[in-house]
Amino acid sequence: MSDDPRRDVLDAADRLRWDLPQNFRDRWVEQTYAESERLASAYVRQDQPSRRLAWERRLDAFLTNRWTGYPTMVLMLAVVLWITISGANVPSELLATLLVDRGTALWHSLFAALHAPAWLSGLLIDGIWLTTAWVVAVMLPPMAIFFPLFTLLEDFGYLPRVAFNLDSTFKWAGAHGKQALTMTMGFGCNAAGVVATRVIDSPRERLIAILTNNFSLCNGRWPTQIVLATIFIGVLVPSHLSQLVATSAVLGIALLGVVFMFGSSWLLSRTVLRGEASTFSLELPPYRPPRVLQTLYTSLIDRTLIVLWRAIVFAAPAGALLWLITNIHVGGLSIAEYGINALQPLGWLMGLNGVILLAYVVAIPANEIVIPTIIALTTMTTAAAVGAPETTGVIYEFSDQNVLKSLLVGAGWTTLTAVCLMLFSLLHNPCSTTLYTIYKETHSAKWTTVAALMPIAFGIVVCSLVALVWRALGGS
Amino acid sequence: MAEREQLEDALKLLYDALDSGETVRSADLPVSAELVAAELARDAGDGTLALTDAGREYALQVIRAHRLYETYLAHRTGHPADEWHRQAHAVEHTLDAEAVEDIARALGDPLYDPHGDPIPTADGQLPPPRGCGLSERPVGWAGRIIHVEDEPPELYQVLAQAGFAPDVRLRIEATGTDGTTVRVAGHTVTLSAGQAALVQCDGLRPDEVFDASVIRLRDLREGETAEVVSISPLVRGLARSRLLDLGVVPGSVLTIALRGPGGQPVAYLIRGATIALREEQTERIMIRRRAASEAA
Repeated sequence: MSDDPRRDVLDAADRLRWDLPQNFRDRWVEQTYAESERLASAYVRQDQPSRRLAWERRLDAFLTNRWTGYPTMVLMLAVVLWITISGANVPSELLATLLVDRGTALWHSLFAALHAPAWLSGLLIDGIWLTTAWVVAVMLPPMAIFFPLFTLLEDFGYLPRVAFNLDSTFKWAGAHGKQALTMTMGFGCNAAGVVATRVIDSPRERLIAILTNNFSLCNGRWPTQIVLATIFIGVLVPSHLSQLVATSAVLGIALLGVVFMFGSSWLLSRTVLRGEASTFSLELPPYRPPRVLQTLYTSLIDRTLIVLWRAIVFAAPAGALLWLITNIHVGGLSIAEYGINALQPLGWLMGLNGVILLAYVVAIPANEIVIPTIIALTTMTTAAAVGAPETTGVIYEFSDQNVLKSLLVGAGWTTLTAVCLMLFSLLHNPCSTTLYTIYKETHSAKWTTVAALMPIAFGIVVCSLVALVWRALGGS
Repeated sequence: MAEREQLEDALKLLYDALDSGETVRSADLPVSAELVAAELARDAGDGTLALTDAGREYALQVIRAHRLYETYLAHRTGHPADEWHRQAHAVEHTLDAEAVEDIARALGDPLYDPHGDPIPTADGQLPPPRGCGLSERPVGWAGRIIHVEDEPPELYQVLAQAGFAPDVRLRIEATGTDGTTVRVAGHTVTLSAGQAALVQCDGLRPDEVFDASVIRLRDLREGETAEVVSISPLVRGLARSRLLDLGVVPGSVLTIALRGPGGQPVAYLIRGATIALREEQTERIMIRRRAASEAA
């Protein structure tokens, strides 16, 4: 005992502190919660019965049953994709006619009337306007259909049941069941899929969902797959089977993407993401009638327009870049040709060529313009330009696939090129819109870099292996 | 830096040895000459080493940094328990006093690390040692765990999986040649002698009782109603606050609403909401069955 009684009290308190429960703070918080719960249930009257209604129970039992739940999910996904694809065709063509054909002609006549120099109209119209108009025409209609449908299912309460059904599968890969939803959203647009990962409230699982969303074949890449499968894969079999084989090839690539998504989720959760905090919870909200108009409005504003705006912001500079590298000549060669020559060895190793790799560099802003860019660069480098426009560095598409094929075969393309390009289209860096979104969502340059480099590393390895085996087996 | 690490490791080794009543000959400790030169240790005569006051204080600060960092890893990150020691061991030599105090403040000045070891205070205070091994208790004895040793890792893994953690209550059900059978964390497990040796226990506090009717949420069956008793201390940090946010708090009433297609996850009806939880969570939530008539 010292002379200072205050000191004695403080010393006693210090000694007694050690006798507190070790998780004393956790218990304290727990008791605070418990007390609030007790107060709330004593003084707050609930008008709604907290019990689930009989029809809700029956619907839940049907939608989450082993035998009925999975087929329902596949059916729903098929219906959504079918409505999107068949519904987007007409408005897409309308926009293409309006913006790409009429709009470009209109701008040209306007610039001609103003006696604008050729380089200015080339850069602004053939470069920036055409590329941006293209991206809008290809992207807007499917997104304007796909996202509202998705939101309606979410609003009704079906999507949380899908996450519930698939959770054990995703758990194996160290991921959250809700990643099933962000993955599906990625089939529409990876940038929207990344934004959608906000529904995952666990930091580690959310990062996994963000970093692997790119393995969902997006809206901008489906056309590449379909065109290549049709003109290179479908023709390998008798014509009555070609449609089936081409479709299977495209679906095979999409499924391969799902395999890569699971594999890389598994890998990430056990390596670089081990240290991130993790938790799990999944609320199954009560079913409610979807509010159709409100859904249309919010999904148009929140998802479609934001994603579209970002795409435009990135597509415009890409258009300018494509025009500039094909039209600026240094020492007799265009910048594009220098790029193609530099990338040719790596392209050959991966079963591709320099043109394709350069097209992917130019098309980082938007996957939609990969095929048009390849065509533009190929016609520039080969004399075999059939029906190509007079200006160079302009993106356009062939309506006749036979002409396209003869152009590509003339430039040295083989079945191997097509197969490797289909693989590379799945396994390459996300577009700049998606990368920017990843940066906005994670606030981390590190994770953005991982998101960019991981798929491209997979792509280089997979394509090189395929090319190696193919050539070893005597293919060309 | 390598020099500091060597010195601090030697100091900790010496502190641990002396603390458990062993003697250390200066010839056996790698950098004993440096320790003596730095006036952290001195020759106690006959070739054995003793710590100086400065040496003891320094050793306690290194231990404080180590245990605080382990606590930080346990509460704020997702690193598994078998990595805490290695990471803390690497970091403890790089932290300065200010960084250590920042960590302590951010964690709310914790007193114990996740294994139940006391964290020396900033002025080097430690509680007197207490408790004793699980294997020294008689059948029927009920108490609480105060420390779980994490070495060797494969034995610790089994204990953690079974729900052994500081402040968890247990009761000895039987002892025999096949090991010690214990009722702990809502179920009954039999520990080998090696596993039991890792667990230090103390008596229950005056306000505590051992309740054998407590079970784990994963053992609840369809149609039964239960009341939450507690969440295991093994659920920490974000995972813990998320459960509390969802209404998994002592006194909450819950029933099973729905099972996933493969049996997992399981959705529970809790406070009017349907929440799905995974098995690794439901085996860490302690409940008590309620008669259906009690269900509010």
